[in-house]
Amino acid sequence: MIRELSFIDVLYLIAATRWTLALTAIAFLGGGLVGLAIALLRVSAWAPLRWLGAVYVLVVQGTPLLAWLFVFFFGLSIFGFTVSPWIAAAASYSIYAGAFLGEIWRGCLQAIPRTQWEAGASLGLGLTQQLRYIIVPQALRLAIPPTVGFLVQLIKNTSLAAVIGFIELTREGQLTTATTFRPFTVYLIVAAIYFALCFPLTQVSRRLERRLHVAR
Amino acid sequence: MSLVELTDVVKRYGTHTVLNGVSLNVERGEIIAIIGRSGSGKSTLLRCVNGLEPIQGGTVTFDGTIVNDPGTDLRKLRQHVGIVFQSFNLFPHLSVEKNITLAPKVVKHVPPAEARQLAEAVLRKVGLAEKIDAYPDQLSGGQQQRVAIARSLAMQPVVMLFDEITSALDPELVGEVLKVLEEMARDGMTMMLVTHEIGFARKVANRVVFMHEGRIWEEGPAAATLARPRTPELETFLSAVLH
Amino acid sequence: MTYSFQFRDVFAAWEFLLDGLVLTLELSLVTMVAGLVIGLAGAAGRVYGPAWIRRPIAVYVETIRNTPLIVQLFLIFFGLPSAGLKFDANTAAFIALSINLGAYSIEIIRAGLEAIPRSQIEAGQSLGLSGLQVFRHVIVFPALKLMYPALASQFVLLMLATSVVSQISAQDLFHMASIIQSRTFRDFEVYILVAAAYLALAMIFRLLFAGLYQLVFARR
Repeated sequence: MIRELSFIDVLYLIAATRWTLALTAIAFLGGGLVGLAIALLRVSAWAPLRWLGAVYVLVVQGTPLLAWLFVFFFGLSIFGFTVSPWIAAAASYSIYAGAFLGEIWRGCLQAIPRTQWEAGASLGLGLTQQLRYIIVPQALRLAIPPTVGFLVQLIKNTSLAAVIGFIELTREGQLTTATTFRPFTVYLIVAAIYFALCFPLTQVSRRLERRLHVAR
Repeated sequence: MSLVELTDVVKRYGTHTVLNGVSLNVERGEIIAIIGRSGSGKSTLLRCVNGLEPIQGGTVTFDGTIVNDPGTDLRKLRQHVGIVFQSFNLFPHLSVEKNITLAPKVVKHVPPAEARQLAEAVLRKVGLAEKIDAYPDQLSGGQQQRVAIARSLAMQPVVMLFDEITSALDPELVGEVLKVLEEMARDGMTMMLVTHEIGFARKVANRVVFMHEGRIWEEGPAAATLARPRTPELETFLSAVLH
Repeated sequence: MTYSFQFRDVFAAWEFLLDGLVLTLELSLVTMVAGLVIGLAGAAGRVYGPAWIRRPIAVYVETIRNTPLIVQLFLIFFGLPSAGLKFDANTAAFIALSINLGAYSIEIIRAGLEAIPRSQIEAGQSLGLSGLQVFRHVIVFPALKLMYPALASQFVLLMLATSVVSQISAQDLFHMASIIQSRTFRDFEVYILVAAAYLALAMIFRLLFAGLYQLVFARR
């Protein structure tokens, strides 16, 4: 059934954007928790823990996000679970974002000079106390610009959830295309909405980065 | 006609005036030492001569060619005006030989074998023949600066500009670089050098130019000017540098 | 829940996987070359060009970097035919991937160009080198060396991202996985296997890039 592309379709697309944002939020939360763990593993004093973190990053950054989505969505159903697109997407994106956020945050932790740890230790602070009072507060400032930058990647990559039928902006675009046969206009609108979400964040990330450079 | 002529040169960065009406003539074979406090405009003056700094007023000519004329082919002009910088500015990814032969090869189309000989010849002049295949980061500061001089010499310039070329060097390395300059002076090279080495200026330069607040405050024969400053500013400057 | 893993049926279809692997490799390599060329030319224009060149390049880079690859792909494959431009899936994939990687490469290489100190450029100019000669002999090499790690990781990410071309039914590795899945119903095995294949590819590319660095940039 073909019908004309109308203003209401644009509103539907905009409405579907909330699921893009919801998935981004879930992925950021899940990925943040995983990422925190990975970052701590990667700076751990015990080598096997560092290796564990490194292998995780190597594997996740070496496989397509699409593969994780398919493994969780199609693959797990074989074991008798019915996996909803929500669960599959939440799991895949947490795994994926965890690796990248973990690497970003590890970089920030390691950017703090060794002497800062030593200064903390000389004052009698324990390892977790050094992290908590000296390293993390400094690393946090460094971490914000690249983290915001990664958020842009995340928003864009939620579009891949469309392939497992997760209804968000891109999937809504596919559905609208199927009924209106106006792919060019529809995908242009979809792209414009993504741009409207991502561009401001890109700018913020860049400005924060610049301010950081000036401050140092 | 002098080799280099600066007439009423004005240079501004925004509202800040760096050169405020500077006139100076340099004859062939002459060695001019330019001294003065940092910020007095002496490096800027030097950089106007090969057109690295666009100027807002006055004229700079080199061998009759107006440097600040937009129609002047600066590339051609710069083949005759060598410059050596405070921070060496060797190309880190090229060996000593390649650093030296790059411009002769791509600008003057000197064939590779000849270029290598040229590199050997200029390196002998600065006493670094054995370093021809080294890379800049394998050399000491003094050696890097001598390679930079050799790189300039390879273009067979008519005049050489030296912009505080010993300021970034450890004190024990200054001598080897100044020795190279002395030899070039003996060969009759026309040189303009911005320097803090007052003793060297007295010994090698024909003329000393003292820059202050963007003007040539005082100039004259090197020995006399440095021995008997006519202005309190030069006197203050000299006593600050010499002690 | 009992499930016995059976890779046999999946392995039996290895010829499919191999075909897919070949297209994935082709797409990756050709796109990397295109990305590098676009990146170099675009970055040079972005940094040294006049405003009428800089502006459009900036718009290109920002547009691509702030929209998803899959939407760019759909726009080119499904959208452009209505504007009279029709490509087969492989061509559309190649165009979309190149445009995408080009934008990222420009941004990366631009940072490298801007990191080269002014004094290096002045030294080249003072020796009588033209602008183009300074770019070619003085700037490009150190800039690429500086940005090589970032560029190499971007290229590996691109290789992984080629998997989305399966969604316009280009017959790449990932697409072949879906075909095998629909024949064998061994979903889990198929996607695990394909994930492993991508992981192997990613590691091989990283190794190759590391080797290339030694070959090109490291001396002595």
